[in-house]
Amino acid sequence: MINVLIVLSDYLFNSFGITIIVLTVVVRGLMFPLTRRQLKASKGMQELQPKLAEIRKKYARDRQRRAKEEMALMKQSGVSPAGCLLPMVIQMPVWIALYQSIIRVLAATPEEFLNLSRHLYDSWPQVFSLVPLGSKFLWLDLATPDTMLLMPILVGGSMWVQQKMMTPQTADPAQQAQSRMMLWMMPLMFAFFTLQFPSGLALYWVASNIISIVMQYFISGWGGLATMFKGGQREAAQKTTKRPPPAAAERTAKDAGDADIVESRPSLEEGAEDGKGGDQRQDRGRGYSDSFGTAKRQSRRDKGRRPKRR
Amino acid sequence: MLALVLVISLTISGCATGVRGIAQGWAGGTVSGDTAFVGSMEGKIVALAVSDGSMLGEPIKLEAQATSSGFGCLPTGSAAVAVYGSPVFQEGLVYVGGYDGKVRAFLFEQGRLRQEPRWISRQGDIGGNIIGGLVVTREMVYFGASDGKVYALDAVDGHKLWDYPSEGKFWSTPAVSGDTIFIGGFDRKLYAINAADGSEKWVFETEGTIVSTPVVSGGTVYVGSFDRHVYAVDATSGEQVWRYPASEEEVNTPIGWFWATPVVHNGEVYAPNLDGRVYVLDAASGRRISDFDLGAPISSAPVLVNDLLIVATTSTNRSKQRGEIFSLNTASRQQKLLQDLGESVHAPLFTDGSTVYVHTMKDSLFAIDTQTGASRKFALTAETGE
Repeated sequence: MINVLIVLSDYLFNSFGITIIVLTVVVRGLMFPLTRRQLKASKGMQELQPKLAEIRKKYARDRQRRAKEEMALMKQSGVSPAGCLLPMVIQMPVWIALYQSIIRVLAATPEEFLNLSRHLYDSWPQVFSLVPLGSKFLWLDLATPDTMLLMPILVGGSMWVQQKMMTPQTADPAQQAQSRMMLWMMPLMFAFFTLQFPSGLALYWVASNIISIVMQYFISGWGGLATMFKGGQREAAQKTTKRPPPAAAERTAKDAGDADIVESRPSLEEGAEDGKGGDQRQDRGRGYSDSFGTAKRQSRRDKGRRPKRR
Repeated sequence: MLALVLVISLTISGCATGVRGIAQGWAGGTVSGDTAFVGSMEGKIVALAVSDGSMLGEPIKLEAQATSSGFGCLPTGSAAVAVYGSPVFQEGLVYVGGYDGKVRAFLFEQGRLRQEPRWISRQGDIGGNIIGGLVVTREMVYFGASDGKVYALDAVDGHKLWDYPSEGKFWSTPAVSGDTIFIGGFDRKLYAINAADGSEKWVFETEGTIVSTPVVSGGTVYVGSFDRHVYAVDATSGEQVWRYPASEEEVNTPIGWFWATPVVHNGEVYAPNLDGRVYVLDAASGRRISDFDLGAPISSAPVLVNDLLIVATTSTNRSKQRGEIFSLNTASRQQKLLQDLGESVHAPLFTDGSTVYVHTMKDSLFAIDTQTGASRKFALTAETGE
């Protein structure tokens, strides 16, 4: 992969920055089938969370039965925890190889150069004269950490977005705590690493994260990020539409959906005041005044309608 | 999941793979009379008596520099200044350039190195790291730095006289001949610069980076390049005299970089290569006469002792390091293995005329008899030595 990086750089305007981005896209593209499988499995697990929570609640005291029911549910749904992890484990060596290749090609000290020379292919003579590669890309020196600190922010931010999209919604407090920790720990950790490592590596991480976000969006949507947005929208909606309830004297017959009971009470009292017998009052509505029957009919008409607000 | 994250973080931090290197240095040394001056890998200047290897005074530690730790996983054993260029002794002063971009001069008198430097180059005078060696004349100190400039300092007090900017880094040691400095850079160019005022005389372009020190002999400059060619350039005009290999159709052409400095002797150029061969070329025409196949990369500059070319190779085989020292007879074309030191060698070899001194990457200094191959090991730190 080192030699591929070097030769590709020669074709891509001698820009190692563009080479890093292009190779990341190519490698992620080749790994897409595995990535898709992983994301789908992850999405499946997320969708099972409510049912899994029910099982945990139901069999809180019987671990064996709980485990059995969980496995049965997953088997029935065709979802497996290994479906999330296995593709990632398979992809890991590729990512590590790409990371190590970038580090090696960005040789900065004489020791690193000598080490690099051992990895060049004798049968590719052009790679010998292409090294060292130009390390300038935009504001970055790819061989050194970013002094403007933009890359740590980009790495941490993109990773946070990716993690948020992947975070499953769960009612289990323990899992919620773990998810929250993962959501913040990984991005902060990688942002810290970015302070120490060559910005070429940070560029690779940012490119890889963005590709992951795009893939995830098309496969499983915004995930946890959507919930965050929806939650914000709901709050905004509540703030803009909230009005104080109208005073009781201002209510009209059209407000019967909520007010018919109020109207019926005076009728009952009227009936009593008219001196009608208790038996009539116990007639379950037939002895009541028409106003109640009117109100009841109105309430059925207005069923489902919200009363008008003033 | 948490365990997986930790494994990833350790791998990335370099603990598990050890991929990310740091500047360690590999300075050679110089011999004056019966004293050897060596730059150790602890960032110290050591003065030794060559007769028995005893230290002459306390080693001088160069000013420490901060290192990033990555949670302490990166090696931090050496917090001192890495020294790649060999110290130079001239008129009582020992000059040394450090990776921190500073040049220092220490007085050697009454058999001892003075701890306080006579002078240190001024802050801001030099940008970048100094990886190549220094060349010192009576009045000036010349060197290249990784900021792409060639510098000239006053040898007496260290103030900057001039600098010559270029587009690439300089890792090679300059060569001085008459009033001209010759030096190769990362921009694939060989420069000829006026030693008095830093003005450019000519520039010769190759197809690869140059880290090898140029050699001047008989009005011609010889230099090896990363493009796997050796060039002979007229020292006055800057015109190419010849290039080896002349064409890509030649057989058994060099496979690796020309990293180590070539040696010119008796009308022949001996050019060591990282492919493990020393190519013997006719100095006038560039025709390949012969080659020595030593079997392992050669990154250390060889030395000539009478008719013997002493060369060090380095390899790592199944975690076992090898540092083989060969004697190549330039007259008979015979090669002989003198010693396998068992330690890597990148530092340039140096000699007092009969004995060759080898500074290894484990910070050992070996003195090897070129006739018999017998060696003595000297201590540069408290841990090494017999």
